[in-house]
Amino acid sequence: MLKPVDVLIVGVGGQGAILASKVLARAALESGYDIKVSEIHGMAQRGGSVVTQVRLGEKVYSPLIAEGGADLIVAFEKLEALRLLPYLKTGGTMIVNDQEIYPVPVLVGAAEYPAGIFAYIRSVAPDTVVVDAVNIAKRCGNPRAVNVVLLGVMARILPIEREVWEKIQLDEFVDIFLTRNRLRKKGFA
Amino acid sequence: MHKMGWQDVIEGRPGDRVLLNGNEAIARGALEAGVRYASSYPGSPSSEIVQTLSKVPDSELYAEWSVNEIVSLEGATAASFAGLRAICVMKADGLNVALDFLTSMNLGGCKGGLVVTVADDPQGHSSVKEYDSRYLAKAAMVPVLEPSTVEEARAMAIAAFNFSEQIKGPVILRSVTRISHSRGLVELGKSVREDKTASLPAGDRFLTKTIFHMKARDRLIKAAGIFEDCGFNYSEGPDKADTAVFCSGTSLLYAREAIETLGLNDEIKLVKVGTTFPLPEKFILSHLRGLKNAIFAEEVRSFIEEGIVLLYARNNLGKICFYGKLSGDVAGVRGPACGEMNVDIMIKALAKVYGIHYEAPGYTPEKTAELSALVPPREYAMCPGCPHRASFWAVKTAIAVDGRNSIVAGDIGCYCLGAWDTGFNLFDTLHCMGAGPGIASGLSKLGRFGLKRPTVTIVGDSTFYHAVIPGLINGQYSGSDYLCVVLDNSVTAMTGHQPHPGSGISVYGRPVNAIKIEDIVRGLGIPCKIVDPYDNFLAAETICAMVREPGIKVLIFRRECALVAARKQRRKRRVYVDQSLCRGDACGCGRFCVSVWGCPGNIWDHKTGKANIDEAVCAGCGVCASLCPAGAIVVEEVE
Repeated sequence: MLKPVDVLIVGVGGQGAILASKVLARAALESGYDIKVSEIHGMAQRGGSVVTQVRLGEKVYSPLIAEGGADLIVAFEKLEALRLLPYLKTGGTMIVNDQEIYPVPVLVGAAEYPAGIFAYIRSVAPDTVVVDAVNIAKRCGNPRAVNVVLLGVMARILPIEREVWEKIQLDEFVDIFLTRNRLRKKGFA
Repeated sequence: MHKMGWQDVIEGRPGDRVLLNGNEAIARGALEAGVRYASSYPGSPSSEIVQTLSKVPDSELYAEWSVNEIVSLEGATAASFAGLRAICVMKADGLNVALDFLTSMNLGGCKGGLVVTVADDPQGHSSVKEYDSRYLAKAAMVPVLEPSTVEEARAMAIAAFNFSEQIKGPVILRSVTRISHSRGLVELGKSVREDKTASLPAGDRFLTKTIFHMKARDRLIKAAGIFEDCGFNYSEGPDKADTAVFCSGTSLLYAREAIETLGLNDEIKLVKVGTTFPLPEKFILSHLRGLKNAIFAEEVRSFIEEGIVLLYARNNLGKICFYGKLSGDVAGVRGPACGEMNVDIMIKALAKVYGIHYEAPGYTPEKTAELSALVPPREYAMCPGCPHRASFWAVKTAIAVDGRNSIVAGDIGCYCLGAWDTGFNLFDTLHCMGAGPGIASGLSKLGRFGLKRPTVTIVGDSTFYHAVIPGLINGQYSGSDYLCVVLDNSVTAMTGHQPHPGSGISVYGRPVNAIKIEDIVRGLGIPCKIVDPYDNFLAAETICAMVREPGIKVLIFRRECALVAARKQRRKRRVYVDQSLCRGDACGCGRFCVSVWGCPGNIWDHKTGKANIDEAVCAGCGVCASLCPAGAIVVEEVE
């Protein structure tokens, strides 16, 4: 019996969250899970919140995760982590990329980018994993590969075998991140 | 390398279980059904259907990105007249555009299976409206099928072609965002029709006449009969129950999960209605009989609810309490009949009917309110280097310099962001595709009644071909006085970069003659200029000059979409802030590059109190460098 896992992947358009969810879904598929994925791309091509819901289990019906229902939230951006916090299950895990991308109200000075986001999140989810994915990706030669780094962290937490990830990684990334043998290894270090 | 979704659709073998989104599943269903003609005007969340089908060799299947939905449907219907199976795909708004033809052709009917696939967008995730297209289908007297899962979307697509041929009229397959953009496992089937002979014998005529209204009615009666036993309507749970939830679309999944969460599996019957118009009345009556409570779960409005309540009124069924959008019991945070459905809404509705106290996991309303006060919204924003930002700034500057407070009529595309903060709140009106020039034309006639503000309308290139040309002709003919600014980024950007008649590329990616916007405009006798919006001062000056000319004028702001340019990875320019020149807050510009210009590439370094460039994000357009009052932003050419 496969343990059901509900994963929310959130970020800002252009960060590669949707691609990450596709890779996760492929890995789950290889592992024998039933899968439902729901993607919301937003209206424009870039810049809005992107929320992808990935539900794994023996049999999954609804593609949507309810508030308080996510076993794992992977946030590509700090503010989005905070925004989606109510979806985290009690005792659930949070992975947050330590990156700030200012939304328009902050850019135009109509709102403040909140301070103390990690403290707030940790008060709810003490085991939150903070990842400096941008710098890890940069060190590996591709600053845009934040999604691969976060996938690497996700892979260590999810109940999916390492061999499956390695197979899927090779399948999925050869074409997309050309630099990237090093990066792949880094993500899984 | 792993296959892309479209490869699974086209190359997958019968029996393969593959992960597809709803649009890919519909495309696969259409292929298995032997579709030969697929046309669409792209629109989220429907675009991936024809995108996928366009990968099939054109000897097997003709695919087309049409200029708009009515032309698209006319073409697909022609294939049906010739006995071929055809699919026409659009988002909900597109059905409005196609409706004139649909209501006409549906009277006379058609021949080969014709499936009109309409993808609604409850909650308006990528739309300005959250339309329930089932009401339009009802007005047009066209049957509607609604899949509840990605897998069912494939099966229904196949069935829709069969039903269409049985009734000799079109059938609407209604998807929603949570089908079209959800992924699930789909078992592929085998091709059920190989025939690809188009034949239109002399004497086969397809006409519309008032009296044919009767044919459309009779077709609906026939469809209702077929739907009774089609397998898409079924019940789950106990045979006899006091309570039933009547569901359509993805609401079935939410209702099912809500029932399981509350442990009501033995108490409540789920009645799944897959053919939502016309309703399978015998099937529904068989489940209404003996009920005490009927609950409705559907998106967006109370469509099956109204049909079933009416059915109840026509039959002697004893007392049943109805809970739905009409009663207000099935409602999310936006109230009934607005927004998407979800599990939580269904749990609350069921808990109410059963008098159960249900403590939802997650936050208390107070805690949620505390959190949302802390988190600023992240609305849509334009991409780094987006030429629209430069165009909007030029228009804004020109209006300020002109000093007559021009009215700006907006239109639909990525650039509808011109209505909000990220587009400098430039638009005074925003409605549907092509509305801008019409409104501008109307306003320009009101000088005689005292309205003295000049009018500017802003439209996109794809919108230009779709809906702007008649407005321009009307404006030119009737002596309008406005400036039409066309933001030409050479592609239908918002829906995923599909080509259009000006792109010079066909749906198959092959070169074709580009139909130039300026040729059309000049052909109408309308003066036309073309400027690169990155050349921002020239752009603003040109607007200033043109708005002062009498009559109708067109200004094309031509610059490739920044995302397309980035993909081509041409020589990139490095943009950085010369820290010795940036004066920080002492400048008096009010942090122009960050707080006014608002490109995601421009950031503020709180440590140094000066501007900076996020080089991972910056597209290298360099427009901010030309606007920085201190001249502190440097553009450097790099190999």
